[in-house]
Order: sequence, then structure tokens, then C-alpha cells
Amino acid sequence: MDTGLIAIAAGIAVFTAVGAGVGMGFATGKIAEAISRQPEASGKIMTAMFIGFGLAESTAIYGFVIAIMLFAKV
Amino acid sequence: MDFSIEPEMMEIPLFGGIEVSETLVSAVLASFLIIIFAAIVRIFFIPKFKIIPSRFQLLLEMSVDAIYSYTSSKVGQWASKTLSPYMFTVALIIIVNGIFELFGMRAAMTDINFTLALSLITFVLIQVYSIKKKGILKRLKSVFEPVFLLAPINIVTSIAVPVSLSCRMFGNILGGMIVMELLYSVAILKWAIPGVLAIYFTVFHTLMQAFIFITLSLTFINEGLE
Repeated sequence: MDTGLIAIAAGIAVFTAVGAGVGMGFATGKIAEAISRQPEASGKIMTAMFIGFGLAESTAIYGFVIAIMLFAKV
Repeated sequence: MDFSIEPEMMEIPLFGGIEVSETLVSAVLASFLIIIFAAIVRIFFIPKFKIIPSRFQLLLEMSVDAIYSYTSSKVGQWASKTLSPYMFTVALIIIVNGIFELFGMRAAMTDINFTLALSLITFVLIQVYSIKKKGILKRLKSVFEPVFLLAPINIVTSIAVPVSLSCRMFGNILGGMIVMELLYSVAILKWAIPGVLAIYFTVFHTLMQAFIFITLSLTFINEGLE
């Protein structure tokens, strides 16, 4: 009983990845737009992209870490 | 699947046995490697530097110049003078520790103590640079800005910085490690495939996290300076 509940909780915790996925998708679309508008600034845009991805990814990673911590108890 | 979030403990046969974790061993080993490399460069190469640089000298000068210009573009000339050596060191430690994972050791970043220590240093640096630049009274006053009622939110925001920095790096590297462990546990995927995927999950993740860590640290320090 408890094991099943923990597994469900781990699954719900990983659900945070949805937000990161949507956010990174939007960001990538905007980056493609920005580069096509101003190709000479692509270096700076790429730097900003990596930082933004790191930030957007972190929410997914928090969920992932919590899921792993729960999973270790199964 | 045989991994745990807690690193394995091992015993050093000194003074009647000291228990240390696997990640501590790899962190210390990485530090030793960096120190030996730095000593060799300092003793054998730096006295031989000429006005017309050799290849190795050019590489060193370019990397130092790159990190200086990157730091000063983030925090300005005043703070970059003292901050850029530290940030370069942190990036080097993270990268060397990450490369260790390729040799089958557990990277130190998969231990939350390591990442928490690094981000607590960042937290202290934020406060120190802010107080140095603005004075202690102005720093205390900035907690109550723009309205007096927002003080709890400001305090929580500044405490969230080390937590988010440490959890980000820990989770990302641990995630890469777990994916690699999963690969090794499946019989068909054991051959050759991990060698390709390790480039992404170990090398790229580590480089990315080192870059993000120093960039975010510099950004937060710059926020404190304003």
C-alpha cells in the first residue's frame, strides 16, 4: 500500500517537467526569431539562451530530485 | 540499478580508521591534481614567459583574459579584480570533478554537501561585496525596500539563492549519473552506447553547470552591488 502511494507521489513530482518543457519551447521559438532577425548577435543570444535554459530546467530538476528521493524509499 | 543518493562510505587506514565518503575522495583527488598542475605551471613555465609568447603561454594568457573580461562584463571593473580568480577556480574544480565521472569515480557534485558549500560561499560573497560597496547601513536599509512590509520577502529571496544554486547543480549532475547507471544496468545498452551518451550526460552537463553556476553567482553579486 505504502509502496504504491510512494510510487504515485514520485510520478506526480516529475510532473514539474511539463512547466520546464513548455518554457524551454517558448524560449527556443523566440531565440529562433531573434537570430533570424539579427544573425550577427547570435553569440550573445546563445549565451542568454544557455542561462535561461539553466533557470528553466531547474524547476524540472527540483521535481526530479524529489522523485528520486521518494523512489529511494520504495 | 545499484545507486543511492547517499555516497558510499569507505575507510582510510590512518589513526585507527577514518570514515570518508566516496565523493570526498574524488573531491580531494581533484584538488590535488589542480594544485600539482598549478605548481608545475608556476615553477617550470611562468619564469620562461617571453614577450613573444609560445603556444602554451598564449593559451594561458587567453584563458585568463577571457575570464577577466567575462567577469567584468557581469559585475564591473571594481569587483572583477578579486572575483575572477575565485570564479575561475570554482569552474575548474567543477569541471575536473565532472571529468572524473568518465573514469568510473563518483563526481563530487553528486553529494549535496559539496554544492551547498560552493553556494554558501556565493551567499557570503554577495553579502560581503554588497556591504563593502554600499556600507552596512545602506545594505540593511535595502532589505526594507521598496516598502517596509516587503522585508520578509526580501529575506526569503536572499536565502533562496544558495538553496536554488546548490539544488540545481546537485540535481543536474545526479540526474546525468542516474541515467548513465540505468544504461549500464541494461545488458544490450552496455556496449559502446554509454561512451557516446557520456559526452552529453557527463561532459556537457558538467560544463553547462559550471558555466551556469558562475554566471548566476556573478549576476546575484551584481544585484547586491546595485
